[in-house]
Amino acid sequence: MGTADKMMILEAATADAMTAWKRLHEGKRPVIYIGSATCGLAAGAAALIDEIRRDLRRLKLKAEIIQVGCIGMCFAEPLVDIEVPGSPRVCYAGVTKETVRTILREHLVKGTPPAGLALGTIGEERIAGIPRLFDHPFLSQQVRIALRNCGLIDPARVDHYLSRSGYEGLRRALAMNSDAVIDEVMRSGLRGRGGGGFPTGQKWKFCRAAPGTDKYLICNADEGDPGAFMDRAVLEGDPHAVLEGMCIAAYAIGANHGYIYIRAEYPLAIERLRGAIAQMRALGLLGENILGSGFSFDLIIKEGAGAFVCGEETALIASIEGSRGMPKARPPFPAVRGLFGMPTNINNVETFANLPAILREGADWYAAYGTEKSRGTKTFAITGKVKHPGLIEVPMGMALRDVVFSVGGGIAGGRKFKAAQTGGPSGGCIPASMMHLPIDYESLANAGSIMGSGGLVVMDETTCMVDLARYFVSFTERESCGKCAPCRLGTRQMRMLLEDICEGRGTEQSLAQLEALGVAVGKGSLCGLGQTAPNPVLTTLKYFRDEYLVHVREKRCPAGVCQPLFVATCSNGCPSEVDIPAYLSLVAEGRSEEALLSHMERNPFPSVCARVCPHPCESRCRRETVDAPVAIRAVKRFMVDSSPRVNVPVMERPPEERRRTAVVGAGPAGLTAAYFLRRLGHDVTVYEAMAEPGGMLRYGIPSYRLPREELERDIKRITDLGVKIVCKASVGKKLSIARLRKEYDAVFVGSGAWSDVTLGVPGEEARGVASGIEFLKKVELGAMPKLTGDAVVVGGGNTAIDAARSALRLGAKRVTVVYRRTREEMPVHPEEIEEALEEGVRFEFLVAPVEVVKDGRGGAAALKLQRMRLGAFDDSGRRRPIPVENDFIEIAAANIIRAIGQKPVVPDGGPPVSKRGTVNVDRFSLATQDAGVYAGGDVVLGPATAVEAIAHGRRAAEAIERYLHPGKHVHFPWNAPRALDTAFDPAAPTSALARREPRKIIPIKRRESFDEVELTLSAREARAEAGRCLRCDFGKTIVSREEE
Amino acid sequence: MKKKLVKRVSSGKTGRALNTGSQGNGGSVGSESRIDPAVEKWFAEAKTEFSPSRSSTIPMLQSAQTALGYLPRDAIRAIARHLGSAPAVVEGVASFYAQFRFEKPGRHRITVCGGTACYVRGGGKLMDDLQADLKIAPGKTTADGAVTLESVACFGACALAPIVVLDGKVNGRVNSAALRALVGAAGKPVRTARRKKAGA
Repeated sequence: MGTADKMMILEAATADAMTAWKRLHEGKRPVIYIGSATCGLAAGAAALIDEIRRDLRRLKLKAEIIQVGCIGMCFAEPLVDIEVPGSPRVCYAGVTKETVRTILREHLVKGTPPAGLALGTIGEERIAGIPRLFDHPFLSQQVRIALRNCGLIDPARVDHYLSRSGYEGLRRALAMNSDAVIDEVMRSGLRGRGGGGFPTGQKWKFCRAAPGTDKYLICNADEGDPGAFMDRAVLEGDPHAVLEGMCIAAYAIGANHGYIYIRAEYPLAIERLRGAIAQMRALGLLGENILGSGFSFDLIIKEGAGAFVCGEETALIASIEGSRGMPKARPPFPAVRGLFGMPTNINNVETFANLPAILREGADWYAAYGTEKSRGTKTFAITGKVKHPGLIEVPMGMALRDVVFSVGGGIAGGRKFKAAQTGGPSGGCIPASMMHLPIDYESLANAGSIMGSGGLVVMDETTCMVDLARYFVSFTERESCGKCAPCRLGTRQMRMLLEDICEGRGTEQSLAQLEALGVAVGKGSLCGLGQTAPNPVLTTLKYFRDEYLVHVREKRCPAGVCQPLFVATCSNGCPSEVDIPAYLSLVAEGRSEEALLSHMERNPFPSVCARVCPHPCESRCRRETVDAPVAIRAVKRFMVDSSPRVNVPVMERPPEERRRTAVVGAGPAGLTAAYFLRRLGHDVTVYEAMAEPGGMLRYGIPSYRLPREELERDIKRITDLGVKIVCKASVGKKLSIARLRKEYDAVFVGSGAWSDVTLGVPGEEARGVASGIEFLKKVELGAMPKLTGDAVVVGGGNTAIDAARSALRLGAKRVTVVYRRTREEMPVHPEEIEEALEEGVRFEFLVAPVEVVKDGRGGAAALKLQRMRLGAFDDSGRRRPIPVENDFIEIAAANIIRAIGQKPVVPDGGPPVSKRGTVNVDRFSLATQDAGVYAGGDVVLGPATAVEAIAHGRRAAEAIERYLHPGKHVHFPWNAPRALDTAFDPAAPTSALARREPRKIIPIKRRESFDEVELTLSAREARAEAGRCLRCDFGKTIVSREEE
Repeated sequence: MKKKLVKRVSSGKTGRALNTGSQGNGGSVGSESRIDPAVEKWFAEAKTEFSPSRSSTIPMLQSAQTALGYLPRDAIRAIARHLGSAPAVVEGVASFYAQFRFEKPGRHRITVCGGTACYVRGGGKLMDDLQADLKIAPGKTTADGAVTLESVACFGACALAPIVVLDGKVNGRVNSAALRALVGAAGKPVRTARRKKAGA
């Protein structure tokens, strides 16, 4: 066949393909596209296709059904697109057998696409009520070059590929000489997308220059990084793009033999490749004299057999040759002596998939994307704890936080972002504080990670970084080929050290050993696998050292992953570590007093916590995977309300061991420290500046949330043990810390965060402007007159909402809370926003105060606010508010309450403080820089929750006992192994009851008084609710927290 | 000399070769006259399909495992004979790669994905539960031959993590309740809680 004939076959096929593609979209029949890549199939696409066929028959409709690859929106699978002639293609997400019937009926029969089920339209035209698909934040910031066809065409059909400029790149390449092709690729700046980042054109040059007539080209499709699937998606969704890229590369290098080394775990991708190769042969795109150019090239598919090390070039070559996949020392490089001893070039799937576009559109076009050193785009498989896991392609240089929070949609389930992991077992963990880093090869390497092939696993606060390091190292240990000792033995030793730490046997020595080993393994290993294996360990040690320290010093796993270190995830999520399964099971058996006693072992404020705790326990409750978390706080409320008396034991100690201790501040931190010190047999005196004890619990939380008699019940239990509280005794000038330090053996400072943060706007001095905390204090003291007129509260925290709801109760007509971000970003617990709304509090979001407008008599008349909009993400994943120019509003109000923050109050002569005004402490012992002086609660944390202050109180009490009796302190009775005798049958079926929420007073009544809003569960309800506990603690022994 | 050694090894008189392959293999000790008929049937076709070069090792092993479900000793021997190398060499290659099994798999196969995304979303816990309940380690089969438990590095369906594959069907977003249902379908109920009485 002559040159012209060969070219004609392809040209004719392309022309036919264009016509067919046009007919498909402009023809009479509707077209239905179904995402049928592996992920789509896993989400049920196959069953959906059957259902669509059946339903079309029922409706007597004819439609083209096209199975497309993956558009990357895996979170919305299964995806079904419908295109009706004369109307844009509509994409439907999360389609089920039930909803597909609605969709077919409404869209195909009635001609009105159901907007509620649609994710978006594809193309320029629009349908009212449906957004454009590519405006979705997941897609809008993507630049799709390697993925341009994925999800849009049927990957099994070459005509679809041809109709979208398929093989134009190859034709252009064949019209150039080989050096020009290499030059084009060099100028494009393309670097190896397998993770190494070596300039692709440079690599080709070496191989082209190597002597020899037989040269090999290998496509590395052995995507071994666990947690990544970019290559699979490309091969399943657009195999011809990779194959066209291979032909271009082979032509440039002068290779006549090609191999695709692909994982056997990807059967669909292999099937697609086989089909595509057959199509290429038929079109003269493979074999002898391709398109009459005189260039010959053929391809063989080799299935990998499951060995991560085969991602390494020399190991991959050994595997194709039929040996164990063990790497060889380089040089000689594969470019000189590779497969079967011949010059060989290996590139990754994504590198090849970029080539057709680079050759078609030109190097300059490609190089316009990305950064100076990292050009073009990169695909990522973004997975883990994000809202929108999927496959994405973004321009190089995009900030990591934009990828995670904007494209990935941020963290699912309202949890806190912790770290992003790139590069899989060879990469590292990047902490929140470094999320501003741009995605490029150098930035990620400087952070101790690597770009990798594109795995991007997002982690939240429930991922343990020590356990994660252990996971990766056990992976590399298993996958180490065993050839060189540093890797074979080093990974094993690192894994064992990490196991020690995860299981409570680690010491600080283990951390030093890990670091030393990590460096040695990295330096001493033969190939990339061993050289990068320590990265997950070294980066977590660097950025999450505190988490390691908590594991080794306190035998705790804050994330709740290392099983031997906690009783159950709920109690592990509780800052004061109350044994929740214990008291739940006791309540379930009607043994409320014992339950209360168990609670008192860790937390002396059961009444308070039963009312105001934001219950982090419930967000960690495993029952959530069944239906909804156990209503732990509501059960606690019943427990404490139904058991008036409890007998807490005080340790009998000989007089020479008893010490005198002083506590500054009778808030939750101070009183808890006092309670535990007293339980250890010490004498405790608490000095309180206010007239009554309780601190913020009394003066900062309104009584409709925490009735004072309930607070007093908790305090009385503490004073009943013999704790002395001296009120109206302000520590500072007269009664100085220095004096306390002299008169007592140890001092705990829990003076809280009472100081107000001002708005810093003109007119703030006007009458009627008050601080939130002052306002609440006056309400408590009865010093607040009835309010007249309207009120505006500035802020989004607890104090703001408490002030707003109190203002309503004091008679304010209209109360508006103004906040500079949106409801989602408000720090206050969502339940409280709900309750405030029910009571009639209004909210104005995205506004920031600029001026207090006065009424001419020195009183406040209105608050002038500037409109804000949400801008870029900060490192923690919150979007920054940005002022909107010249857009102001005014809210008339005679009462303006600012509640935008509180600062710690440290007594004169108190311990040194940080820039933020918080007392500097050792985070484990809470010791200040002054010997014998400890601090905790808000004065250390800034405004925080009661339960965190309580946790600090106990931590400080333990540290003070250690300080008072160095080396021979008592065993803390509350850390003793639990003795729980409640019955539990793990074989019995789980309680089928739904979560029971406590009832509340109706909103209209609430506004009339400061009566408690929430009611107690009945005994029956509480016992049943407690019985919903899955007893994650059952049969578990945990590591003792008591050091030897 | 070399040839002789090869011959001796392939006739099965040396002790080493396959210590992992003794279970579930129709009793064949491997002399050529008593070759497993299933292996024989596979080999009759395979020997024409694959060229007798070393690079055919892995494809032949894959073909045998696809046909037979695992790699019985006889298959390794047949491959070695075809390639003109020692069974130990072929086994050495086979045992290097995670894909190959040397024991007859159970009637059902449960594969838990061990990829990072699955692990971060609770895949490790699912594996622990399965091991505790089936009382077997990954790679093993229950004594009654009902279930083989396996783990795989990554399925590449990370966005649907955690993934559990039962008899080839990929199941996404599996939690402990879904796992129970899945394994129940394979005839082995799983309880996620431990079975001892009395709270610890």
